[in-house]
Amino acid sequence: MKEIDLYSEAKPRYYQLIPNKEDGLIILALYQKYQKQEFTEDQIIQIINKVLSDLGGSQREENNRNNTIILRLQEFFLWRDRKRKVYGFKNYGEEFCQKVFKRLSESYHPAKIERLFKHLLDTLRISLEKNPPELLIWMDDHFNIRSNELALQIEILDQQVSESVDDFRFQIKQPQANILEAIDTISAGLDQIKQHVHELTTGFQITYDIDDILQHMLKKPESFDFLESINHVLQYNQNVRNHLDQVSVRIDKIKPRIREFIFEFNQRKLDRNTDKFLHYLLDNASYIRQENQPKRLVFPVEIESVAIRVPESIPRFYILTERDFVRKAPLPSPVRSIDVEQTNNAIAKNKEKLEIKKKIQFWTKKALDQIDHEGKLEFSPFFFSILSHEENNLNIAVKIAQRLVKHCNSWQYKITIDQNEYHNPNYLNLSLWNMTIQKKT
Amino acid sequence: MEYDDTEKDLNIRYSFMLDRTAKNTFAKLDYLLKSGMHLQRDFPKPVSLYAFLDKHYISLQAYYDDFFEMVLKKEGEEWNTYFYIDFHEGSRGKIPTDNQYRWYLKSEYILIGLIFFKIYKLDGNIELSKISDFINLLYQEYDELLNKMQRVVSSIESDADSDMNEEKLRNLVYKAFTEFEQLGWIERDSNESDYFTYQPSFERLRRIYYPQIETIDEIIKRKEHD
Repeated sequence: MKEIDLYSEAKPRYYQLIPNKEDGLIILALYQKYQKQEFTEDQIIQIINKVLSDLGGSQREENNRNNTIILRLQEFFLWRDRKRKVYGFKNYGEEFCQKVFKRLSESYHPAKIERLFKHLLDTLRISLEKNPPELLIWMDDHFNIRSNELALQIEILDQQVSESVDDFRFQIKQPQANILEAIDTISAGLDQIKQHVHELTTGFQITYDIDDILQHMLKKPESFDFLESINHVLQYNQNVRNHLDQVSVRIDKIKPRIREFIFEFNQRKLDRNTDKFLHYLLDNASYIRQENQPKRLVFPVEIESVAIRVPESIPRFYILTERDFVRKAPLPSPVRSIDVEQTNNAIAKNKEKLEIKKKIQFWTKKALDQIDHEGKLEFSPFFFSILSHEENNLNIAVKIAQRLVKHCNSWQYKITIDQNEYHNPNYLNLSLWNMTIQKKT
Repeated sequence: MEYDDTEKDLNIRYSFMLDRTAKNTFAKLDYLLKSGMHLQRDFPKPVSLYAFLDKHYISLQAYYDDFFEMVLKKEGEEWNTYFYIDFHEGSRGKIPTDNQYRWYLKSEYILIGLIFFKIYKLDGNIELSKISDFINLLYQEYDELLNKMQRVVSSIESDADSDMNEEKLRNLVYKAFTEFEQLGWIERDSNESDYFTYQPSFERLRRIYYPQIETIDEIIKRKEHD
């Protein structure tokens, strides 16, 4: 096949290649009447008029319209013999019509399906016997060619179901419809399709044999190259079987619904009135707002609201689980034990802290007394005398210094510090600035 | 019905109580009926509820009438039979209740129900099994109904018209179907809530309005003269 860019080639000539609905139907009508025979322009115009009036188009500007259509059709579908002033179908037009004809007249052929599958299975076996196995050739020569045809068979059945349903819908809408008859027709039709599905299912059994062979191949290392192809075929088989199932399920779903119509076949007038009633409600529904409540949609007075429940009539259950009744077991009380040693330690530590606290208080008091009595205290020698009295416990001396400074940091006292260091010969590693606390008078 | 209080007569009048299956079935059945549920062959499950109703309809009816003054009704034929307690007409009732506290089916839901009934039943769209498909069909093939319904929807909640209408209508339809399921008019797929199965009792919605539907021509005429 010559390589062309199908999309861009077809785009400018789309409507010449693929007719719109009117053109398409005209072409089909022409083909149905004349097939390979020739026909005149008048005969084409007759068909055009017939088709367009059937489609409900307007009859104005006929000449111009007919002319445009005929010119358009000549592009691909019709040829014109200028001398003899007759028309005929071009090859493309003929193929187009035949394709439609074939698609619509095609019916399912369970025997053919079975044959096709049998053929696939046989050829598959033969190609695998060869060395090296010719799976790819089999796919090219047999599988790919047949697979479309098989899928088409299922599509036909599915389409037949749609047609039955559409026909049913059409039938029951007719004013004089005989619903019982319509139901009988569709039921029979669906039964028939279902029968076909069943026959096809039998034919499709062979796909399982093919699956078996291929799955067996999957286990062998030498089939590694074919992995993708094998999967492709397995997947395809799975899909056709599913698709077939779906048709069957679809029919099973429709049938009980049809049955519901059986008892209402004489309700046509009621149905028409129901329609009117619905429109009446829609046209006359309005909103009202009552004392602070949200807006409410209401119908005219003669149409009552529908009471669907009386809340008081519904028993209300409070669900209490068993757990709600069970007495809770008391928590076990924690067992406390006394660690005598630890307690004694703690007591000793606390006692020690108390001692220190007492000493701090004692020395602080002593210092303040001296300030009060003598008007001033040379703190630095005082500091070292504390140290010597208190077993060189620096902690006590420093805390007392803090206390004093804090206490004397007010208008009553004056603290002076000169930055000459004060030393005590007993404590060579310690030195203080000279600090004096005076009482203001 | 006249009856004596002799044990024999009571056993006949309330014979459902003697049924072996009553112990397992009645409490649930009673609860569903009083909740406004419509029961038919396929829904709600289990099917023993329907079987019990079908078997003991007369004595159950007597029971509800005698003790609650509620009307147990049976409508539809053969495969389409369904049962329910009629709170609509059975307005007396021994259950103390004030009329204004009855639960009414919202008018919006009635409209959606009737539109659905028309599309599914009157127009024979019997393959309809998804709520979203119903909405799509409404948009594609029912211009007039859609426009009228949108006019109604647009005034719900706010007066302003907006692009939100489509969403509002969609939400409303789903809410309505939830209510329909509680009434037993449709069954919804428990896994995929978009899927539903139409139930024969959906006809009840229309049945309520039979008197008005049968005289709709006169009603319209009167309206025009107003």
